[in-house]
Amino acid sequence: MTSPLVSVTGLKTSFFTQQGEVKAVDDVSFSIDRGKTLGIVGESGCGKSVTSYAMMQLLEPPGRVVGGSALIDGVDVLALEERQMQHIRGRRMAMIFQEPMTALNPVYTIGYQLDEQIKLHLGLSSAESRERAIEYLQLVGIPAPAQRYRDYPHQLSGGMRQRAMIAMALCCEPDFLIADEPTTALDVTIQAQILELIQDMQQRFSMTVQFITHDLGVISELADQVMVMYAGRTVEIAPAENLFARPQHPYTRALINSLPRFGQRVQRLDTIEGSVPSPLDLPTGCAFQNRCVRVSPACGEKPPLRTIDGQHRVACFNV
Amino acid sequence: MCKQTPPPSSTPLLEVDNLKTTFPIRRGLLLRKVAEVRAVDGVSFSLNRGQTLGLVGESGCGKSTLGRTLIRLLEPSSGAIRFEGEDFLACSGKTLREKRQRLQMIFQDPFAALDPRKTVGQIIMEPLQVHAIGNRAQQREQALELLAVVGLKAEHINRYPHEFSGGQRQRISIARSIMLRPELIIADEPTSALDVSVQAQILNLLKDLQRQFNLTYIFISHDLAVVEHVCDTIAVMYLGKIVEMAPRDTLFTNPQHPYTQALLAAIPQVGRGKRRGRLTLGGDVPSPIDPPSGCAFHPRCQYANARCSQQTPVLTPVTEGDGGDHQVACWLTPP
Repeated sequence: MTSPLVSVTGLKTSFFTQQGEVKAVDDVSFSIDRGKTLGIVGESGCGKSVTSYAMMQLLEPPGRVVGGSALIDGVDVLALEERQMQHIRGRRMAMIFQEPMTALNPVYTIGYQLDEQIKLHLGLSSAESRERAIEYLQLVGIPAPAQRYRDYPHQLSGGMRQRAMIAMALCCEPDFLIADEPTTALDVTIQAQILELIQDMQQRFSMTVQFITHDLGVISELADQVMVMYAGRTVEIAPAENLFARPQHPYTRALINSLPRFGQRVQRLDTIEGSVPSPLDLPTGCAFQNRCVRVSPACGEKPPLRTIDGQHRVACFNV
Repeated sequence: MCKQTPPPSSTPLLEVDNLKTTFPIRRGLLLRKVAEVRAVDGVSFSLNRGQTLGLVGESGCGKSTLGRTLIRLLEPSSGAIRFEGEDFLACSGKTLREKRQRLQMIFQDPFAALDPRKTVGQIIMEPLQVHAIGNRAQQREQALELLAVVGLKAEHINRYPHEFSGGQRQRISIARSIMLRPELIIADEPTSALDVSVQAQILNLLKDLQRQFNLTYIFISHDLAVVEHVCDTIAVMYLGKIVEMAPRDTLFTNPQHPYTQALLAAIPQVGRGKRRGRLTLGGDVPSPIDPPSGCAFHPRCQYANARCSQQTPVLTPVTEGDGGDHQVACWLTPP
C-alpha cells in the first residue's frame, strides 16, 4: 500500500457572521491515495466547496479555518504562511472552478496568464514558457493554440475557457488537483469532453484529484472513493462502487433515490421531506434527524463515523 | 401508466406550423440590420390535451426562445400557432388577454421571477387582479387554497420571497401559474436551479397538478433524465430546428439522429462505474448567426457525407408502421 498523498484530519471551518458562528465544515477527515480520485457530493451549503477552499487557503473573511490539518505529501498546508503557500499553489496543488472567469483575469491574454505562472514556478525563460503554454493549450484540446495564446478570455467560448483554465491549472504539473464543479455550467456534450480531458490528464501525470459536484452521475463515472456531506459533516465515505450499490446512510439513500434515472419508470420520485436546517441553528446530534425516516432517540447524540465494511464508513446509529 | 390514447374526436390543444423567430443584428450608427439570428427556424408539432411535450437541447438551440414565442412573449417572424383550434397569432387586445389566461409560464430562476417587494399573497393574487376576477375576499380565498395545493402553509401568504428557499419559491411561482386555471403551462427549466432532493419534490408536484387540473405541459430542459421522467413525447432541438421527435420510450430505446445518440451517450449515469473513452462530440455548437450549410449538425457528425453539407434534411417519419410519430431530420436514417 502506498501512503496517501492527501490526508485531511479534523478540518473545521467557520464563518463568523453577525448572526453568529456558522460551522461550514465541522470535523471532516479523509485521505486520498496517490493517483486516485475522491468525489465529494452534497447539496448546496453542505460544505463541500468550503472544504476545498480551506485546503487551498483561499477562504476569505469572515471565513476561517478553526482546526485540523491538511497534509499534502507530508506538508500541512493549513500551517503555511501566505508566502510559502504561493509556491505550493499552482505548483504542487491547483484548483479549477465552475466559472472559469473566477480564475482567468479578463484584462490579460490567455498566454500571459499561463506564462506568468510557468515563469514563477518553473523559472523558465520567456521563449520557453511560451512554448510550454502553447503545448498545454494544445494538450487540453484547444484548436489553433498559438492564436488562442494571444486571445483574451472573453474571445473564447465557455467550453474553451474551461479548457484554458484547466491548462493553467495543469501547466506546472501539480500532484494534486481540486476540481470544484468544473462542468456544472456546461452542456452535457461539452461536459463529456471536459471529464474525458480531466481523466486523461490525471492518467498522464498520475495526478491525485478531489472532485466536487452535486451531480451523482458525474461522481459515479469519475471517482474511486466518494464522500457524502450534509450540513458541514461527513455522513458516509466509501469506495464508489460500494456507495452506489449499497448506500447505507439514510441521506445517501434518499439522495440516490430522488434522482430520475434512465430506463427507470416511476410514477413518483422519492423525496426528502423538509429542508436543510439553518447552519446557524443546527440540531444537537445528527444534523439529518429532522428529515430522516429512521430517526430514533439515539440521534440526539452526534453520530461518529464508524466502519461497517472495509473502507465503508457511515455516521449513523441506525444502519 | 401510458397515456397514449388521445381523447376521442378532439383537436390538438396546440398546433405549431413552421414557426420561425428571428432576432435582428444591428450595427453602426444607424443601427442598420446587418444580419439575423434564426433562433427558432421552422418548428412544427402538435400537442394533445393532458400530454407533456419535452423540448431538449443544449444552450442556444432555441428551446427557450420557442417557449417564449409560443406564449407570445416574443413575436414570431413567420409560421402559425393554433391554440384550441384558433389562430393564436391573429389574437390581439381583449381576445389575446383572454387567451393568455389559458397559457402560463414557469421560469428557471424562481427568485428572478418573483417581485421581491410583494408578499406571496400579492404575487399569486396578481393574475386575478389583472384579469379582474372575483372580489378581494374571493381572491384571498383562492390564494389560500392554491398555497395548500402546492404544499405551502396559509401563514406564508404574508411573507416575502426572500424568506423562502429555492424550492419553496418555485412552489410560489407554480401557484401563480395555475391561479387562472390554464390549459397549457410552459415550464422553462423549472428545476435546473434546485438541488436534487428538492427537484424531486417539484417534479412530483408538477405531475400531481397535471392530474388534478388536467394540464398540458411543454417542459423545456437540458436534463434528459428529468425529461424522460415527466414527458410523453420528446423533441430534440439543435440550432433552432427539431432534429428528432418521438414518444418517450421510442426516443430512449431507438434514437435515430446522431445528435440524439451523442446527447444520450454523454449523460453521466449513476452506478455504471468508472468510465473512460466516452464517445464525445468534437467542438462546440456553431453560432446561430452563421449556421453551417445543409444539416446544421454536419460539422460535428461522424457519419456526415457530401449531401449533409449541401441539403437541409426535413423532419420525416422513421417508419410508416407506427403512426409516423417517430420523426427524424437526417439524410442517413433509412427512409
